[in-house]
Amino acid sequence: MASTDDQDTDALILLRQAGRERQELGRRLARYEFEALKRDLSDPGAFDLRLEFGDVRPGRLLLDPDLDTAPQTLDALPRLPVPLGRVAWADHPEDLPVTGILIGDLRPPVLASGLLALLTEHHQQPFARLLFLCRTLAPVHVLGRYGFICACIGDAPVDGVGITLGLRHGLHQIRTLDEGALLWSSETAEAPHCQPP
Amino acid sequence: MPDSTPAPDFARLRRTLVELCGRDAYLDALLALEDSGLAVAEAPELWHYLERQLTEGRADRLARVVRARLAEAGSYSTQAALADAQAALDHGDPHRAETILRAVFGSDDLPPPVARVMARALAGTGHPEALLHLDRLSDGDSDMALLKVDTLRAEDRLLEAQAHCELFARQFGGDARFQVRLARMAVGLGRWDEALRVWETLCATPGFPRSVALANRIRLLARLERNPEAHALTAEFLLEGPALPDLVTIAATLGMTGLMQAAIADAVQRESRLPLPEGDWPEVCGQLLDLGRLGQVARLASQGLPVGPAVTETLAAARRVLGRDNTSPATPAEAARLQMPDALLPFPPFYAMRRPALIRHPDRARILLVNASLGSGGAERQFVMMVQALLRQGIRPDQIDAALFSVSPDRGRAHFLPELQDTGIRLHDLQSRDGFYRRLDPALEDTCQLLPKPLRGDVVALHDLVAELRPDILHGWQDRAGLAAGFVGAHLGTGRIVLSARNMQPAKRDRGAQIDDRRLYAALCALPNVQLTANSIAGARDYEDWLGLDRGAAGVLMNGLDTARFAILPPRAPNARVVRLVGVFRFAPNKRPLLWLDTVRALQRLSPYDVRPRMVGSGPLRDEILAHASAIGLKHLQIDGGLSEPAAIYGPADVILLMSRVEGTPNVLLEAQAMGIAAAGCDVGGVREAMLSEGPAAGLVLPEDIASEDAARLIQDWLPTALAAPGDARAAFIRDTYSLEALGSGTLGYYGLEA
Amino acid sequence: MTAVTWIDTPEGDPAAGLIAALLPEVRPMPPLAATAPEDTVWFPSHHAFAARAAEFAATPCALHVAVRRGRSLAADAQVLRALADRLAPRVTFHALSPAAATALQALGIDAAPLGTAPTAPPPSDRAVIEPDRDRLLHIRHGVETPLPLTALNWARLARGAVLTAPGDLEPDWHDLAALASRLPSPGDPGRHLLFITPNGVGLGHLTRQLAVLHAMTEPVRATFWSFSRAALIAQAAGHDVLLRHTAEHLGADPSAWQMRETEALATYLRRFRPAAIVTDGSQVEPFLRDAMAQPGCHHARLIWIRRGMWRADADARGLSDVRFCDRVLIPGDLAARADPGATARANPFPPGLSKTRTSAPVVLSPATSPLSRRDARRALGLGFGTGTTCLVSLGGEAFSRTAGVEDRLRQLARKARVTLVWARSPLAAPSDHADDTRQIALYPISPYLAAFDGVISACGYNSFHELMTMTNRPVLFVPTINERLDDQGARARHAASEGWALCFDPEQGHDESAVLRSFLGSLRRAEPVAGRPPGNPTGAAEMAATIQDCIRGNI
Repeated sequence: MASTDDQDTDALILLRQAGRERQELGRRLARYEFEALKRDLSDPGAFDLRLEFGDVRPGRLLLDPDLDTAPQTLDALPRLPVPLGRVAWADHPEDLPVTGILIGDLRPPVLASGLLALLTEHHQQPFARLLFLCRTLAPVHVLGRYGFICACIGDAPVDGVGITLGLRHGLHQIRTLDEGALLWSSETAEAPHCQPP
Repeated sequence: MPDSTPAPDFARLRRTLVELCGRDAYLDALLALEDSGLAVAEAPELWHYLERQLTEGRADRLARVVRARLAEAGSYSTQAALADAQAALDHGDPHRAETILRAVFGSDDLPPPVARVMARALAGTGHPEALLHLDRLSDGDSDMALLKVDTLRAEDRLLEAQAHCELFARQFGGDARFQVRLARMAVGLGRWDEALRVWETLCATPGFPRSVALANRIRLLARLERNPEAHALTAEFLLEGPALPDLVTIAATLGMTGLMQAAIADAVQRESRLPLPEGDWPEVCGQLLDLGRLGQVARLASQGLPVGPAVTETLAAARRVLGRDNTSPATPAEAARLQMPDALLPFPPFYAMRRPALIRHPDRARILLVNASLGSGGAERQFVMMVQALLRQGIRPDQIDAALFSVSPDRGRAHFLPELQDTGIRLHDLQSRDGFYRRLDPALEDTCQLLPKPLRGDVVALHDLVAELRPDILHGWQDRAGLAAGFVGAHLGTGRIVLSARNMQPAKRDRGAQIDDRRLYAALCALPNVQLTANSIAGARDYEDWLGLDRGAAGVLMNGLDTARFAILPPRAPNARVVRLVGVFRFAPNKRPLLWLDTVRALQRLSPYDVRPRMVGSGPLRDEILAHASAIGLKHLQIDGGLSEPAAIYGPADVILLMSRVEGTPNVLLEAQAMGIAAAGCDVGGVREAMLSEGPAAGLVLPEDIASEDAARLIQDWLPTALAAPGDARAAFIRDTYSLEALGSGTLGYYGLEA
Repeated sequence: MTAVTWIDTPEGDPAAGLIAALLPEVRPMPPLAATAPEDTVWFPSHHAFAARAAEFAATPCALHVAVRRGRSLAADAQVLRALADRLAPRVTFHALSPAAATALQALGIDAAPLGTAPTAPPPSDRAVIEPDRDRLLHIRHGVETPLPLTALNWARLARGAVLTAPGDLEPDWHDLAALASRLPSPGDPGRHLLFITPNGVGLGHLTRQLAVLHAMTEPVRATFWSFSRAALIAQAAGHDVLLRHTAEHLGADPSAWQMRETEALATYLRRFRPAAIVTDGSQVEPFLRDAMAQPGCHHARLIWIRRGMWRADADARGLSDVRFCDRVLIPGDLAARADPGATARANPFPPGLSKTRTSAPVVLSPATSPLSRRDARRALGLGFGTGTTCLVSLGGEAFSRTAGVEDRLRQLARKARVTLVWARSPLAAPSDHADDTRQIALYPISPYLAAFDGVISACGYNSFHELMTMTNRPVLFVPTINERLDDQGARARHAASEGWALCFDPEQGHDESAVLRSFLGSLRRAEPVAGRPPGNPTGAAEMAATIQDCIRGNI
């Protein structure tokens, strides 16, 4: 009995050590990515894209088809996760709630500073899995580099977006980028028409 | 060195336990107590407190762990013992419950709460003391009263159970459980209309699940072949939103497999949002396995549904038997194709080779006959005739064993038991034979798990006996017993297997969603040591067509009649006007009794004869027959039942009329003609063969589908000649064709024994 | 609230797709429907209706039920009549065919046959239903292609093939085949095209799609269903975009993701009914096939742009996807003679619905004309005094096996007095090169090629063909070795053997420093390379014409 206990203890110690190393490596990688993000966002042309197609007018950003889908249909499908993003590390990211960050049509410097402030906080102490709700495609390529997901919502109303993404990703809240003001919460939202008769 | 470990804070620990149990964090509570280092002896009240909380909170596994600790420490309270016994019962282990209770409380003078649990434990093990306890406890306790009824039912003492149940139903009026028992027992006793009435009452009983009552009515109506009513009720049933297991049962009963599949598919789609109640998926999967739908069950399991441990084990057995690749259907169509027992077929090649040398000499052969029961049917009568025929051929009684799946007298399955006992052969009631898992080898045990019902139970029950007796000849009587006997015999390498079909092919008989036996039958017939027989030429050809066998592959074993028992009736007076017309048959839909009544009524109207009808028999349509006869104004109808002597059954009769929809070789036509009675019947199965076909005494063959008026006209045309002809020719025909000698020598021939 | 027409979609039942083709607009009914009183619900099978009768008894919406001819039809009919009596007048029964209607009439079910008798001549292809083998056998000019029984929407299939049920099949299959022939003729498909762009930071698939789109001679409306940040490029190019995420992006279970993506695309197809879906990739993605199989999603043609030059060891099973497509368009490859893999040979898989065309090479013609050397250098900020310049466009993979090779390239370039200009995708993060490294991130880069004295490049399809047809400057190809399918090495070696370019191939034992030194040295000699294939390949225009023909219904 004693020898089995000893073996169990040794195994436990090894497991704990591996876990700590994994945590340390994860935090280091997150720091590296965060540094790259800071450099990126500090560049005045962070969101500029040199795409040369002459005088053609840009196309439209179309709404996510799920915004046009009956809630009952969405509710019947399996949930999809939202990643934590590569600039942060958490032991159990799946335990963090999913929070939507609404990004309007902002001037690049405002956008950059807003994202930097938010993601600095996210890097230091991850508080949520962030789902960026973008009215335009402007931030997509930058956020995408760091493993963040953007849902392009055009000018769809926030309530409908909350319900739809709640059913798809388990979204709990929608907040503004600049001040983090609460725009929508699943706790106070009207229940979608997807309860059984 | 002073011990630096701080003394445990009992108060804080108790508060922690209270708080954790209050949140249903039972595991945390147990760990907290474990971590405190306090053994039972040091803090018995905390351990007992935790045990009570776990028991009340239904954290059964943890509660058992704690009770085991308490018991180890010698602190096992009577409360704990009772809880352990109850937990054992909940987990389907009545033996353990009994052991605990006896150890702690003894056997006598049990306090009522203990007596109740003991009664359940004993009832679960079939212990004779169970009823003693229940007799005392059932007065004033509806649960114990119900258990008493169920215990009697389990012992097949249906009449007793019914009597007690009627008393209890009055005593505990309002407790619908007794009504449900009454209805079920009425079915067991063959009292269908009574059962229907009870379920109709329950349909209208507030608080009783209407869909359950409707489902039972539908099943009964389907058995009675009152299909339009059954279907109308099915619509009502569906509109009640029935539980899925009930819906599957009804769909299977009515053969509505599309509905079954749609309901299951719907439930699968909803499962993530609206899961079925616990236990429903295991029950549905069990039903599907009973129907042989292994593929569908495998697919449900692969979709992550909670199919339960029993089904999981069955699927594991399937993988062992059939291989993993063959038991992982990816699409609904693939799943539908994986059916049992077809997936086991054809038999392995060695089945054709592995058998002992045939015994040629009759007096050394050991014969095992298998039938479902000894109920009051023609096939059962012929089973007895065959035994008598074999004995007449010189086979000794000690060479013959007969295995019956059930001979319950209350259920009407022992009608011919006395006659068979009189032959002196050994009889085996498979239902009451226990321990039959002892001899099941692991491969066969796996295979048996996969078989549909009733084949699964029949094979398991029969296998043990066959393995013990090792007969040289295994003879299955009728489809159900034949398939089980064939399956077991093929597996055990019995030298000679005879399968005697008694009717037309199963596909022509409406069997709901029951499995298609064709492939199994064909696989058995393909074995060199298996012989299929039918009891008429028409039946033999029909089975050959159904199974794709060559002409002549199916043998013919005509029914046997002890013609000495059937004395020719005196001839009619030459100018007698009265014609006594008898119908002898079970009052069941396939005998078409209402058509019989209508035909006779039409005959009464158009015939110059004074036609006096008489029906002899019993069955579920008796009330309907009486009502219909009255409605159509049928004159002089007499109905008799419960007769056994030929003279009482057939005499005095001038004509016997049979208008069945499905028949094998109808014994009643043979018996009546043996007594010289003129015979008329519809051309189904072996009816034509069973009648004298030439001469003035020839019988009348009516078309299979005929209106009563047309039948009456044909009968009237035939009557004068038939009535005038002496009965000797008929009796001689029967004597020559259906003798016991012919049956016996024919049977020995198919056994491969020299006569 | 707008009334919705819901349709039940039992798994594996092709009737739903056929019936949806008769209705103006449908949505699939979810498992727990919460219908509104003004809604209509269609059940392609009466079994599902019966199973859910209790649920719909409580709602007043109209119910349409197709009664199927199965073995228990007599019993079913009695139950259905009783149900209809209880739910009257909301229930309407339908038959799948005139023969079914007659049979149902005999059982007391009043059901009109769906669809109308065909007036147009039947298509020449046939699709034989073989349910016992779980398949349809598509037959065109004697060539047989097995198709999974319900992998295609039967309404889409019926557009080009006559469905037939062999005589021994049960009546229901005959009814389904009959209904397939009674569908309305498709109207004008319109000019809306949906482009599906797969994952990647790389822009190869998008570039080819843009090349074809910009070569269209008739106006079309294009939408890009883009899994890549390349959506921004498509939008900048003037096209509507939908930004999507792969399972990998989300960290999602692939099967869960596929269910969601299928549903999203099906919703889009039902609503917007594009005339064609154009996908560029190594297979037809399962979510795309599944979405097109959904009821109400039968309108679009499926066009697959499938590049060749697959590696010899690549899994060729993806080639079987041709059977699901209306057209397979293969962009010609200048290195086709060196194609080592399955794409060099005739497709071993049967064609099914598809016709295959190989075009000339496809190259994106930029919106702006190529700039002169002077203008290009000015625009890129290279200016005078930069001297000899070399564009370096390698992706991330080429030198990944050897650490420090980029440093070696810089060293050798400094020695050779060649200014390296590193190209990166405008969507990629700026690299952390040394401060003196010049980088450009723009798209497309081809108008600026004249700015460079030479190019060191990976050898993907687009880069290869742009460089071989749009510049006469020296090119050193450094094939990416970690590509799953694309045999860049074969392409590069072919270019070298033709004298069009140099090729650095470590697998051939090339000395890295020697090759680089030699190449960089050649740049200073400013000799143009002769003998390259002519410019302005017509592949994009050819593909565009084929697509336009296809959506017009010209076979």
